[in-house]
Amino acid sequence: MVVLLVLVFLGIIWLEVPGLVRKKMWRELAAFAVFLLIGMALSIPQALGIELPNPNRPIEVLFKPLAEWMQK
Amino acid sequence: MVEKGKIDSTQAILLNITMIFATALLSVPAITATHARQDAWLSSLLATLLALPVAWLTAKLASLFPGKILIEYPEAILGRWAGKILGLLYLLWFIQICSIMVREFGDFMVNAFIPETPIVVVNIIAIAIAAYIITQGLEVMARVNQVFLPLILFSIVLIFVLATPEMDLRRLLPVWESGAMHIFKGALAPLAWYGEISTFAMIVPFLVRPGEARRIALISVVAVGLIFAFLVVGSLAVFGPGIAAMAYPVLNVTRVINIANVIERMDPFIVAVWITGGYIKIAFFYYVIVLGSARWLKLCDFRPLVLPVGVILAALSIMAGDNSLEIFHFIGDVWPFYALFTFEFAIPLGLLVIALFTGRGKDKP
Amino acid sequence: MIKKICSLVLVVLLVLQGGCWGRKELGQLAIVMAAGVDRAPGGDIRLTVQLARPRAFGGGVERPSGAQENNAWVISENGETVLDAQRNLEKRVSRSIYWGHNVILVFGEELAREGIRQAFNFFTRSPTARETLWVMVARGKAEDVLNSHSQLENTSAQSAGSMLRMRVGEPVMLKDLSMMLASKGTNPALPRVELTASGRPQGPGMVENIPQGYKGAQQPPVGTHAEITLTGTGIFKDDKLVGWLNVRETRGLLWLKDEIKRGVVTVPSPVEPGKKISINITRGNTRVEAFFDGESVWFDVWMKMEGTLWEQQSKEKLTNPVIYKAIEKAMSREIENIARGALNKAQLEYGVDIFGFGEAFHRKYKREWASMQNRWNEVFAGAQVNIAVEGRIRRTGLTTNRLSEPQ
Repeated sequence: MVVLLVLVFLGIIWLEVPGLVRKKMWRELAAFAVFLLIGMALSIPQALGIELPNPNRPIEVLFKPLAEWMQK
Repeated sequence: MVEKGKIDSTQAILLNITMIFATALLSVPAITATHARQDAWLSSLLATLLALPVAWLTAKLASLFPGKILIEYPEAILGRWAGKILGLLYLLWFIQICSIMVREFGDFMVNAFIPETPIVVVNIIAIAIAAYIITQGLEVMARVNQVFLPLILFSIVLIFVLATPEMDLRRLLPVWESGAMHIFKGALAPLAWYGEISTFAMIVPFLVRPGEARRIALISVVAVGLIFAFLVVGSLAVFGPGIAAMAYPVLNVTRVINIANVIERMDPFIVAVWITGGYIKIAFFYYVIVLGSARWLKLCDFRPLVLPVGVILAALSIMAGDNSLEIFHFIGDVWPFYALFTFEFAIPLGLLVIALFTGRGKDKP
Repeated sequence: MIKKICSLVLVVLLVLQGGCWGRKELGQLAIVMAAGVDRAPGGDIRLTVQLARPRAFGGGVERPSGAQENNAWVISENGETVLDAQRNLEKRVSRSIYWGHNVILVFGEELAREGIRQAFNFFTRSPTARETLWVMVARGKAEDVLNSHSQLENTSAQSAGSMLRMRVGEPVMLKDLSMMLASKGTNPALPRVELTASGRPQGPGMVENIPQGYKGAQQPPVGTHAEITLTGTGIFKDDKLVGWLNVRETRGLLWLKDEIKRGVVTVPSPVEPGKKISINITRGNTRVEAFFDGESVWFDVWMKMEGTLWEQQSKEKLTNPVIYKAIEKAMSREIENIARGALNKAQLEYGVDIFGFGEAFHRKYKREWASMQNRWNEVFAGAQVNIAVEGRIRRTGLTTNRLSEPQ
């Protein structure tokens, strides 16, 4: 699973990076790298079976009173 | 310029319709009926009415800042830093709702058709196809939609026409039984969906005639409202207020079609509707994220960001909830307030008020 | 170039992988034609399924012995829930059990008396089972009823389904049952099925066991063929079976619920006592309106029936307007009697509204309904029902007066 994921990341890098380097689009390359790192940080732990916090949970907590009113 | 394509007004209306309607057709009739029971159709009409100000607001902001997209308005109104931060929050919001959409899509497919397939596979396929669509640019996406939306609408009309033998309009009676409060509650979920029209501000500069933005936004909301009311009335006529307990009422309507034992098992039609519509909807929001990020970072091209963002969306779509019940709860009870009190209505309204007071933006409407 | 090679590899991989996780070919499915749910001793659910035997379905193949083969395989298994019982069944069935073509769902009497809610949720949740399957209640055990075959159809399940589609009994699909249970303004009524002796078996091994023995005979005859037969309607109070309607009352129920498709009304001849006239009902509609004056509830029912006079034992001249008016009047009276029969049983004997009159009341008096819905059955039992029937004879078939009479 993890191996497959790493292969996918390598594939993405292999598809995008050479073109960016050739055209000297450094700014784009930096953005690409940051996004890809975020993507890795979110996906590799999941592939390893680590449960990540649900990003919707804080919002659920924030709107809890209203949600309860809706359920009435 | 990050995006070079141009779309005309008709394409924009059609794109807006798909962008709102494709997921509204899944669970929203049930959410509405949970509160308003057989008055759900009143709720959906009320929601259309309430969504018109949102559409007007969106178009008004867009007209004040020609050439700019939604996430750039705050910068022009609030100044550099506050504006950048609000723009970033908008991007995060789009990422969040897009991941929820992908998840909804996956849940639907797995729940109803392919119960043994891991949901992550369905999600990745959806994202991969959406990624391909958006690398082709806005213009291609709009044209794809122009081809498919008529087919989608035709299938839906066909389904409901074929289901007429099962319908009994008396199931909509008595009217106004649930009372104003419950009808209002029922209107909130569709309203949050119609409020997605605010996303339209992300593509206004790419219209051939940006001056028509207001007309486009209003027509889109009304069209979506009418289509949705049609779905609700049809589902209610077949099942009565019982649709509240269903996960996907329109799918159930499709499943009861049986004409002379020959025309039956029409589910593939609704799958076709969902797959094409759902992919375009996901692609649209995915596009908005990627385009917005590129503009926010002042990049020359958004294409390098497509695949990394796809990975983020896929990961988030799995993290969005442990099970489909959690997703139903989120979109039914939390999301309407979340959407309306923040990015769909409250923030744009605040921005507009500040812009008008400080006199920023173009003076002429 | 590298990209092209990669795409090629990907395409080949796609083809090889076959794509679907849940992929099941036809040959790997055990297709359920009918399901029965009974109460097993000890509180378990006993699930009976009628599985299609694909080999027997193949058309046109001459069987060497000339004997008919049973097309279905009926097996039962216990479990805590329906799904659990299905799981247990899979220990004996070599293929995976597929519900997509299930035609009927039969509840056993004992289970129905305890409540049917516990037994059908699985069928509405599972995406493979259809909402359009016909639901019925067995006199006795569902297991016994399913253990049968049909002379005309491939399986007895299809035979029962076809009869209901033609509205011979009260036709209730799973979706209708859910709606009836969800509504406080009506109670479910399900067609009753049982096995009755129906001619001689077509070959060895094709003999049915009729549980209560051959009705009307002292001893069960050797080698009887039995078909699933619609013998009336089971009346429910909420989800519990409380009683039965016979075939005549069932017709009244169908007419009052405006589900008239066909039926025959037989009336005495207005001229010759003892002779009968039969009218084939071709069309009809029923309108129910509720009234409430603050104290009592009453209903007005208007029924309009049209039919063709297709049999006449007597000799009167039908072309005489006085005669056919009299026959129409007798027809209206008979229809009212039949409807009254069902109504009286529901109101006086069982005290449950199975006609959806509560829905009619609800539609008109939504405010009063709120206080009445929880005791609706009592209100219904005490309600006055006025029935007005307009019977019409539209045609008389190929002859006007009797052909065999000297004019």
